[in-house]
Amino acid sequence: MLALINDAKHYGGAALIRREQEQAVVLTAAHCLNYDLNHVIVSGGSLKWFEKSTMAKVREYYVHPDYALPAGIDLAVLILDGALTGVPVGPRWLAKTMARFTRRVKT
Amino acid sequence: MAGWGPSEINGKSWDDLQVLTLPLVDPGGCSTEDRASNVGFACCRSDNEHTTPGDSGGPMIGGSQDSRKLVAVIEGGVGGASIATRADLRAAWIGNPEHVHSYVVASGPAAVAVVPAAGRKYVLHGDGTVSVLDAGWAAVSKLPAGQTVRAIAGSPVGKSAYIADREAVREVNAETNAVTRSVSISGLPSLLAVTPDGKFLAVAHGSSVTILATGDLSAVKTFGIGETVSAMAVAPDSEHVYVTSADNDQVQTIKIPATTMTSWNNGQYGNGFVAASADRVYVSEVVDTEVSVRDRSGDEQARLKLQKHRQVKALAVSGRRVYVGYETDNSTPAQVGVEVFDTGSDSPVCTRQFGAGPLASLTPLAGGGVLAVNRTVSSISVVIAPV
Repeated sequence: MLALINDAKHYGGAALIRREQEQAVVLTAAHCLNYDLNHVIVSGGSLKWFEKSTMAKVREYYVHPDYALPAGIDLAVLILDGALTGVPVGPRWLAKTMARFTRRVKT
Repeated sequence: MAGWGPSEINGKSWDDLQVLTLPLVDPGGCSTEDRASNVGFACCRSDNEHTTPGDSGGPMIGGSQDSRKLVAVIEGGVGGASIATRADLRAAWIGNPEHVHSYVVASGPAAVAVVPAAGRKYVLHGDGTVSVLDAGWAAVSKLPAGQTVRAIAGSPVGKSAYIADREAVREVNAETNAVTRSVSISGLPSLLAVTPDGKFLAVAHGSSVTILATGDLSAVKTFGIGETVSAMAVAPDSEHVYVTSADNDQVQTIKIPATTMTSWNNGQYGNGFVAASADRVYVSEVVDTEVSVRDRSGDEQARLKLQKHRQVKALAVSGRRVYVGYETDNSTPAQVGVEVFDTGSDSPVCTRQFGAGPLASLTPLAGGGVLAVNRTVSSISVVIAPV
């Protein structure tokens, strides 16, 4: 589970799906690509988003060919400039992390 | 579903990761006016628990206890609905993504010029600096600071880039990045365009266009356009330069070698954008949702209409495709993309949207496709339509 941070504020989420060499490959929503990516930090490794145990910046990204707001396929794959060492890859870990935490009601 | 998104719009994000577990319901339960068809979306419904816009991009995990999988990417949430885009259905694309590939560049890009023979790209930024990229998109240097650069262009055949500042147009050796030649130009240069054969450079400055011979940067002729130039395009034959102004309706045709200029009219509110194929001129007004397709003598042959809520922001021709860059007006921030049409049949080929605007410019690539410059996101998207 990763956080998208811009200007020291959390604004979205993402998931680590694999690593290619020293690069983390991350899945997120295409509509989250709305700030200057020189300032956006993708961080993870903690359950508090601001702890940023490990972090990287976006170097390249792909937007799904059928993306369009408001009704297209809202997916983007980000290639980061670091490997996000310490963040486990994949849904099994995500599910485990989720299970460890008391569910809070969001209204 | 997991995320730190605040419970209230514009509220503060949660410090700790929040997790929400809900049963999936029929996607119809989350249908909206915008999304009549729900194929490919996942939906959960609960009166008092749902994802919020700040959870966007995060994962929706599903499956049984011992076989969890990433089902969908959270898109947002409203009115008791948690909406996510099915990722499992697009596993092939996620595993091997292509189209549209974008590269992050230094902040505030305004334009890009390509010098294929030297394997270099030059990115002009809003602050007047120019960064130099290698073939792998890595920034290798910056052009030496001097004057604030206002326009750039690359030679399609030679190893030269051209930059313009307040006082002069300069030739840059794309292998050494040294300025090799300069010529003074009055009236604030604003646009540069090299002919495909690399022999001439058109310079828009104020309400004039000067044609320079690239061999020695000597001026061949200067033409008065009457009003400030808004856009300029060179035809693939290297013999026609089309010039528009936002302050009148004339589209000027400069014949190269530069001797004559003729004009015809388009629209009634001034023209903001122009591009040229072998036998067609594409022109749009400053605020326009359509592109007029005209032959060289100005007779309208067709009109290219953008989809609803899209406005023309750039035009470029590459091979047998015309790329119409657009911005949307029904989402915040505005989204940008291109609609691509066939230059022979004027029929639509494909449409691609690639993120938040504004769209600063489109630059055609010699091998087909365009580079779209995204000013706020600070990236350049490589858009290649099917041939």
